[in-house]
Amino acid sequence: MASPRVPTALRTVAAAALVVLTGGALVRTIAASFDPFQPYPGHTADYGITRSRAIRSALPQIVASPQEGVIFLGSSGLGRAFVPGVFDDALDHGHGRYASFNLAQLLFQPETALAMAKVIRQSYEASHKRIGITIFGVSVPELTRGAVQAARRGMPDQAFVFESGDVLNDRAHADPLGAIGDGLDLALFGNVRPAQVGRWVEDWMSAGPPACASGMQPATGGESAAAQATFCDELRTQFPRGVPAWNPKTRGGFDFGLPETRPALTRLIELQASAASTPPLPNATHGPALKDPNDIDDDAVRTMVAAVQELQAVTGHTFVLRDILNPALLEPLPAEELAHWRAVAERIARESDATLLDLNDGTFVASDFGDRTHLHPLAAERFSSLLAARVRPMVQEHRASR
Amino acid sequence: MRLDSGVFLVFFAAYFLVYSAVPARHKRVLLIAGSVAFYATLSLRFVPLFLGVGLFTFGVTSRLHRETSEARRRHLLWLGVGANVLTLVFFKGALPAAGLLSTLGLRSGARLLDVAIPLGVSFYTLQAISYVVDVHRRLYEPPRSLVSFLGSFTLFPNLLSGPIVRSSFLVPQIERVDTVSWSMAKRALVLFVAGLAKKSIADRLAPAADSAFDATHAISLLDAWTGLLAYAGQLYGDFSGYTDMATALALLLGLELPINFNLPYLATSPADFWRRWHISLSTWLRDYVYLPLGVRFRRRRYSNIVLTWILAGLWHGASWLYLLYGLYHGILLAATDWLSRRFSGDEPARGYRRVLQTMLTFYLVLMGYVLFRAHSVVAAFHFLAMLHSSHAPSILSHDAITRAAACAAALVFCHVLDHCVQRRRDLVERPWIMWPAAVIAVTCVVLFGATAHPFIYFGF
Repeated sequence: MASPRVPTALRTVAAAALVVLTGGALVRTIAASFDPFQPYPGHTADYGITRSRAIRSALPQIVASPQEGVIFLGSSGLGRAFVPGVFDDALDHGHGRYASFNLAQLLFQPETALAMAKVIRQSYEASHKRIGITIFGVSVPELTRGAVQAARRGMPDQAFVFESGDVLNDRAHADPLGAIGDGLDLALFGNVRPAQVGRWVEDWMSAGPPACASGMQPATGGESAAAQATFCDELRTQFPRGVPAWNPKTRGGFDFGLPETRPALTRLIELQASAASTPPLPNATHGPALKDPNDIDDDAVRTMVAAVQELQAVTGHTFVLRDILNPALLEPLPAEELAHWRAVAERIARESDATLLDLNDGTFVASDFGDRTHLHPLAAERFSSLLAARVRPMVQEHRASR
Repeated sequence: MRLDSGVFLVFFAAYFLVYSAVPARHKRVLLIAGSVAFYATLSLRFVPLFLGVGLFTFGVTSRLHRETSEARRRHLLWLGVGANVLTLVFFKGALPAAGLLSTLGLRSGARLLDVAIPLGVSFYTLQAISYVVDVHRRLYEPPRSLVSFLGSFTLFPNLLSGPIVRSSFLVPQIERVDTVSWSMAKRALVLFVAGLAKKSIADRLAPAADSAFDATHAISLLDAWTGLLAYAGQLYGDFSGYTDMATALALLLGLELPINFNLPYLATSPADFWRRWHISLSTWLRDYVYLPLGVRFRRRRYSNIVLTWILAGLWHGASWLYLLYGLYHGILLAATDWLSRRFSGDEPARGYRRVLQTMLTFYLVLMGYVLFRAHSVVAAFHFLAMLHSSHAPSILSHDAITRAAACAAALVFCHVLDHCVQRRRDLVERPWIMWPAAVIAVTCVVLFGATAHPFIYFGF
């Protein structure tokens, strides 16, 4: 005989579900009150998933752009090096045919790349448009097992921001429980994990002054420290709540070199360049030199290839761009290790049928780096021009052949 | 799958609906299937061991029950108890033994012993031992049905971290199990949310405890005490939180689990503490270790107490620290037993004396936690020295004071929550309190729950 208390069980499950759904709705409401385009107190542009969230929110505007779109992805090394305005001007000599968007993120994880590529592809396909150029940045030292694990630990929810049904479906074969868990989170709380929203609330409550993560190495010497303090003051004046996660005016480019901050920035770079001339020796405990180059995570490489292939399906020209590496860090490394890194980048380009771009040819020297792994903003502008110069003939050739 | 994960709750909800719908006679089979499936998601390779221990214990005990010869009964008792003790000792001792062999240069031997500890082994072997002993003592007639026994032995809510439930308590419930009533369901929901909240508080306290106990440099007096208070809150929130969730899930399956915590930090003596903390373990030790020792060595009351608690310490793991932890509590219990017999008798303390006794007991419990949490014996004594040293650099910053106050507040909150859930159910289960409180608790847990740490007692 069936139990007469089934209705009680249904009532129990319904009550529990209602509690959870109401909680989920509350969390969503709180999350929505934090504008994805604004930095949160104490946060800077590449902190946590703030930038990832802003990128996702900016996607409809990116797709709707009337110019030919240039999508630039990669980790912070290339993100800091790519200045959309400079690149676009250099690409078609200021005719305004292209609009590039810097979608690079700190510790760009392979899962994020794939999830992001799927979302970008869906967005373009839904509006029956194509991307003009995709430049997919690859930082091979970040594809070692240790680095991939460290990135997942450091920013565990980056890929989740771009999570979608498609991505979950793919994951369900390898990790069904994980996919179900993420699916539940997605359904209940949206694309931001509630714990992240909790951190925003805590930061909002403590309301500390925004941090000054200028991307410049810590100043040494009184004059340099004073210059850095001045630059930070300029940044705070311009961005009282911290550097925004996504500035539509600069199309995602990092804003450290905007006109208002340029005099202070130039002064700071001059001082740091002179500090760099006394050799900026790599610290034995940091930087790409640390990671075992032979320990490349094959799954991570395959995921990167899959990501490029997704983008290529909606792109005219697809390039794989190697991360720009600080020569001072590379100097102590054996030549075969560097060759191995290059080989991995070549493999990603080859398997995804894209063209490899590599600006690690001695053009950029140690003094072009604002810190150990990032170009300073003035060098970044030069990098963007050079990149455009490399891309231009290939794009023009293709146009001509069409 | 963790008991507090969304995936588990979805599966449990589906399971619960099916369980409620099937006729009572099929519920026991469904219980076993659900329990084995749950265990398999956590530790597939140890499912045969887990089921093997259950089947072996049932087989031996059934034979023991039928046997009339006292000598054979004794042999079967030793066989049943011995096999379970060996399983427990082997898996708990294998890894430390492997480390020792490796240090001695015997790498092949070390590799053989390098096995993981099966999840829940410390709990289900104790349940099996109590079952064999109870049947041998003729305190309990074993179930004829293997399904009834396995239903109690494998019951998944309490499988991994207790409470340690005796078959004599659970099997009768399983044999007449029925679906849950709405009042029981409400109680279960309240308990589950309370458990979730306590676990979440424990996870928030973990970093403060870790930073004090894992510090590589000298820390201030205040930071040391904050870390210790945080650990006391973490351990309590984590373990009693798990117990609450387990009890709630069992309630939904129509089964009542025994109470395992009863406002432990309000204990007025070490003996009172163990009557309030991990009650199922301390009563198990009393019934299956201390009392048999008392029968055999009647005149050695205090050494029996100490020996019992050394075994309790070693039950947590084969390490010097756990041995010292057991020894410490053994000595405390023996000393307070001697003192109470000599001076105060069994009169419960009242007024300011009760407050003083509670504070002293809490202090003594905290000192024990240092042994429980430290990485090594040296580190434990170093930490104890820091707690009592006025030389440690002490910075009374606003942050440090706030952190200490927050840890103390978390401890108090956990006790208030327990008090309300256990003793003020009439108030807590009023709809206008229960449902808003549940929503707020769930929202706070998901927003501020910090990184979910593994349940501490899973490690035992």
